[in-house]
This record gives sequence, structure tokens and C-alpha cells, in this order.
Amino acid sequence: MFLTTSASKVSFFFLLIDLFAGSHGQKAPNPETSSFSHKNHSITSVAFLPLKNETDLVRLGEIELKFPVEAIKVLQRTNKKLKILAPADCLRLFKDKNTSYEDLLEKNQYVELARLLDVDGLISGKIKKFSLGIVHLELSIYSHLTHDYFIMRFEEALEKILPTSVAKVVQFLANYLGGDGLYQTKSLEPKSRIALLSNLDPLSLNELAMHLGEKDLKTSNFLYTTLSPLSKEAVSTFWSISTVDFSLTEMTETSDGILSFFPLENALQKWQDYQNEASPIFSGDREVVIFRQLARSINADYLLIFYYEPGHTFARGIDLRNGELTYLRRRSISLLTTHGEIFKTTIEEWLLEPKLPDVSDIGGITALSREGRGSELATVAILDFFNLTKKKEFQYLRTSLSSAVSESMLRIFEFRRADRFKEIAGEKFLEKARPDDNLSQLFQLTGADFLIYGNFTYNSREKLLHMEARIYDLFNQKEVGRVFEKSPIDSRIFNAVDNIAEKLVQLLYKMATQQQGG
Amino acid sequence: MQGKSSVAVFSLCLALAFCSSRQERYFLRAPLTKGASVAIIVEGENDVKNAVFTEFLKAGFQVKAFSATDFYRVEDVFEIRDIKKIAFTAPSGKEHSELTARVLDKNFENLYKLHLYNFEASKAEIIKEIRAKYKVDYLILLAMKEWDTSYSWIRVINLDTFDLIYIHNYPARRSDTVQSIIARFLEIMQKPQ
Repeated sequence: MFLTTSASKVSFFFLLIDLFAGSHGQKAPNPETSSFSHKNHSITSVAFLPLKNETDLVRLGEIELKFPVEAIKVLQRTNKKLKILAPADCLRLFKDKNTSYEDLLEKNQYVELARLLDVDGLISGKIKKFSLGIVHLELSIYSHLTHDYFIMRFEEALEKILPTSVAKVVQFLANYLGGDGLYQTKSLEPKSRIALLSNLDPLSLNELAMHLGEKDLKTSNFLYTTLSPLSKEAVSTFWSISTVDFSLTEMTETSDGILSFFPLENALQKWQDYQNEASPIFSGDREVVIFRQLARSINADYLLIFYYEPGHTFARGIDLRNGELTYLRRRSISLLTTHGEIFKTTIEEWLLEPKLPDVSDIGGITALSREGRGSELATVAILDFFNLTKKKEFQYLRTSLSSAVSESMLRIFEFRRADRFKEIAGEKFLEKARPDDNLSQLFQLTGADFLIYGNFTYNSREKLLHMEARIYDLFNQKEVGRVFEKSPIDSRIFNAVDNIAEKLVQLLYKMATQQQGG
Repeated sequence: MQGKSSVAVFSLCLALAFCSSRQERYFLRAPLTKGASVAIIVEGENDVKNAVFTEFLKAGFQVKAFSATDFYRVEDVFEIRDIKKIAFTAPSGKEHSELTARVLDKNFENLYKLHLYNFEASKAEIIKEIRAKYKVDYLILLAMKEWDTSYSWIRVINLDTFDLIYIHNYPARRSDTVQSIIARFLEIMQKPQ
């Protein structure tokens, strides 16, 4: 015995833990006779509930509006038969059925909403934070077929958040919930080093290491220095490992003794814990730090969590260097499926380059077309705002507001700006007439499909500047919507100008969404 | 009739399972260097341990005095589940106390994870210590507890790289002795590639 200090002895004991348990583990691998069988949990309909912007930044409303539109666009490319409800459709159905949609924290609400909307899947989400140019987006996905519940968390730069989140959500819906039980964002790098967490018996664990070795992958000493398997409980505890962009619910036994893969109750518990920030050790960045430390100390690139029980296997592959979940596979297996077959398929699958949906056209400029005229670009007249304050010092706001609207519009939409002379003609006309009664005349005067027009007044009692802006669909002779903003007369006025511009654009985008969403 | 055939199919499957489970299987990344110094942890009776050490010494390995007589299971040393028994007080109100219970459950799980991660991390440190202080080249784990009735298995970890370089599952055969099994392992682990 050469370990002398008591601390070393304790550590040494730890090194030898579970030694005896090894011989009580599961026996030899199963026979090599049959192939996998998959339960068919394929979703055929999905509803996108409105995304919520929990930040006070109006600009992020752009994501709130664009996410469902872009996700639906890509999802429909991958599965033309899928029935999809856009946020506007959901809200209309809620209204028709006299139901209010508030939040999704209540357990029964998901079930009820799915029933109400008659869909297999629900997607909702929140824009939680925006700091240092990084958007924190959290999406919840519920499968009414399996009662599975998932949370996807994204932390990405503003310009990348849409393509990243859309690609991953679409892939998840199309494959994992589409019946394949597979979610994969990256392939396993050749010659990588893998650490393993599993409830496999020692012989099967050995076999897994052999399969990894045969594919020229190295096995880290993690777990292999103990002679026994981890208990089922220990491995299921690791089910709830969350990662930077993706977290799953844990796996626990239900009251009737059936091991369900993603029980809703636990998912909601996790969700509430997260809401209450009650997960001090494993949350967000800190978890990634722990993964990195682990990667250094055990000298591994990936952590593979592999769970086995008769009838089911579950594998999760985490890149320890960045904490990202790169591989997720749930399998229903027949009793005759061998461990060897499962290991071989799992490793080979993880090594393959995943097929991610094409999102190259996501997050860019959207063509603003006019309803009923196909893909032809719409013409937009953006008039200078009317100064109703009768104060000359606010005169600059007339053009500031129209310029801000124009800039916001250009960032989101592709459109044709109306001829400036025609816009001036419109301004002159509106000095004497109300727009609502003269939409056809304004259409003739400006030659525009959409008209953006507004004014501002000063409320001396509140000591606030009141701004109002409206969008008219001149071609169809109807008001698209109007927005209001109040601001004190100080530097905050510039924020108010930006806000009103963003809100107008969002209104227009919402209209375009409804057109595209059908 | 149908019932009988189902039973027959099931029996056949069981038989197949049994047959295939009796397969010998190994993987060797690189042969062990001749005369290398090894630390061997053996699961089995003392006479088996001695027989194992003897065979390794005979094969020319420097067997370090790495005794594995103090075997404890982690449950004996550190019962993480005990934490669950800690009492807590919560403000009145069913909803609130349910939430507190859930939060405690979650924290328990987090502690479990942290414990396991830390355990693995400290294990890595200990192994590094073994490598540095006692100049051990390979750590060998051998399970010989059921060598005559079921399986024996071996894992070899190269302490230079921390790689698992040799794994072998060996099913018991009627003619086997501890010596013959170790001889088989020694033959494979030194096999030139």
C-alpha cells in the first residue's frame, strides 16, 4: 500500500468504489439477432404560439415576429404535408373559442391548448435577455403525442439568432419528433476522446469501448477505472443536464412504474426551477465551465450519456469544450436487439455529418408584396410627420420620424419607395383632409400601395410629447394599424422615435406574416 | 398451438442469447511495452489475486505493490442520497411548499452531479499521482470474481495518455484455470500489431 496520507486513502477508496457491485450488474450482452424497431410518434400538425419579448427593447420585436414566419417557411420545405398554425391562426382560434392565452407555465395548459388547437405539437417561446449584442431566446416544444416537453435555449448574436434557432427547431421537429428519435447538430470529430456515463454492466461497457476503438475513437478513463456500472438512478440524474442551447427534461419513473422518457411534470419542474433560478450549480455558463474543467481533468472531448433498459435506449452526446448538445437519440428496441448492434449504430450515426435544413435565406430582408398582386414588390410612401405642437423647436421631428421609419423598413423589407414629389403631394393633401375618408384619392396621388403617416402633439399637463403613426393599405383601402408613443422632452425622445419606427415595421411585418401564413 | 410455438420461439431466443453471450471479444489499441511497470487492481479472492500477480511477474512485468484490499463501495463512504433526508421548513401554503420541495430535489440532483463529476476529476488526479510518484506505466483492472462460472474481463489504461488501450471480455470455459485466463490476456495484450 503506497498511499500514505488519509486524504489520499479516502480518494483511493473512491477510486475503487462500487467494486463489488460489478459482479451483481447485468449479465452478458444480449444475442445478436434482430434490428431496431421504432415507435411511431410522428407529428402531423404543429402550432406556433406567439413569441414573447420579455425585454424592454422594441427592436427585438423583430425576432418575435420573424421567428414563426421563418420557421414555418423552412418547416414547410422539409415536410409539405405538415399542418402548421401560425401565431395569428392560434390567436384567432383562441378568440373564436373564447379562450385567453396568457402564459404556458401551467401543466394542464399545454394539454388543453393542444386539444383546443387540434395539433400534435406546440411551440412557444420568450426573448429573455439582450446583453452585449447577444440575444437569449428560450423556446418550449411540447409533443401532444408523447407528452414530451423540451426547452431549447439559444444565446446568439442578434444577426445569427434567427438562422440558428430556426435550423435547430426545424431539425428537431422534423427528425426527433418526426418519428426518427434523432437530433443531431454536429458530427463526432474523428479520433476524438469520449468519456462515458452509463448504467451498462461492465462487460457491455467494455464492448462499447471496443466499438469506439474500432472506429479509431479514444475512450477516456472516465468511468473505466471503476469495476461496476453506475446505478440506473445515477444515470437518470444526468438526464437533466442542460446545455447552452438545449436542455431536456430528466427521466424518472411514473406512478404506474413505467419509465417515461420525458415526463411533463418533471419538465415543468425544471422549467419552474429555471424560472426561479434555483439551479445554482448547473445553469447557463457555469455548467459550461464545469464541462470544461471536466474535459481538462479527464482528458476528453465529448461526454456520451448512454442509458439502457430493456425496450429503450437513450444517448446524449455533449461537446465538453463548449457544452453543446450535439447528438441525441432515443430508440425503442426489441428484446432481441444486442448491445453491440446499438453501440455500432449509435457511433456510426454520430460520426455522420447531420443534414441540417437550409436556412441560408433566413433572417434577411423580406420582400414586401401587395396582397393580391403576387410577388410584385409593394410601393411605400413614407410621409413626413405633422407637427401639431405649433412649436418650431419640434420641427426637426417631422423628418426625424420619417427617416427613422424609413431606416427600420429598409432593415427588414425589400420594397419600392414612392416618388418623393408624390409623397409631398400626399403631405399637402393631408394638411386639409382626413386620410380615412380619402384612401382612394391618396392611392391616386402617391401611387403607393402602403402609406405611412403620423403626427405629434405636446401635452402640457403631462409635459410629454405624444406621437401617433398609422399605416394604410391604400391598394385594399384599409388601415393596417396605428401605434402611439409618449416621451418627455429630453434625450429620451430619440428612443421614442426609434420605438415608433420599430413598432410600425412590426405592424407591417405582422400583416405580411398573416398573408404568408395564410 | 400458437402459445406453444411462442414458447418455442422464446426458448430459441434465450438459447441464442446464451450462445452469443459466450463470445470472447477484445480490442487492443497498442501492445503493452515489455517489462513495463503495472499497477493491477483485481476483483476476486486473495488466492486468485496472488495467481494473477504471479503470472504478470512471470511475464516480465514490474508489478507495483498496488494493493486493493480496502474495498469500499461509494455508498459505504459517501451516501449522497442521505442529503434527501435533510428536513426543511417552508412558508405555509401548499403551492409554496411544493415549489420548495421541487427546488430542494433539483439541488439534490445538482449535488449528485457535482459529486460524480468531482469524483471523476479527483480520480484523474489520483491516477496522475500514481503515475508520477510510483512510475506506473499502466493501470490494469481485472474482474476475476466469476472467472469459473461466467466472465472475466480486463481493462488497461495507459497512464501516459490516459487512454483505454486494451479491453477484453473472456467467457469461462470448462478447461480454464486462473492461470490459463491470465495467460490468454497476457498473450493478447503483448501481441504485435
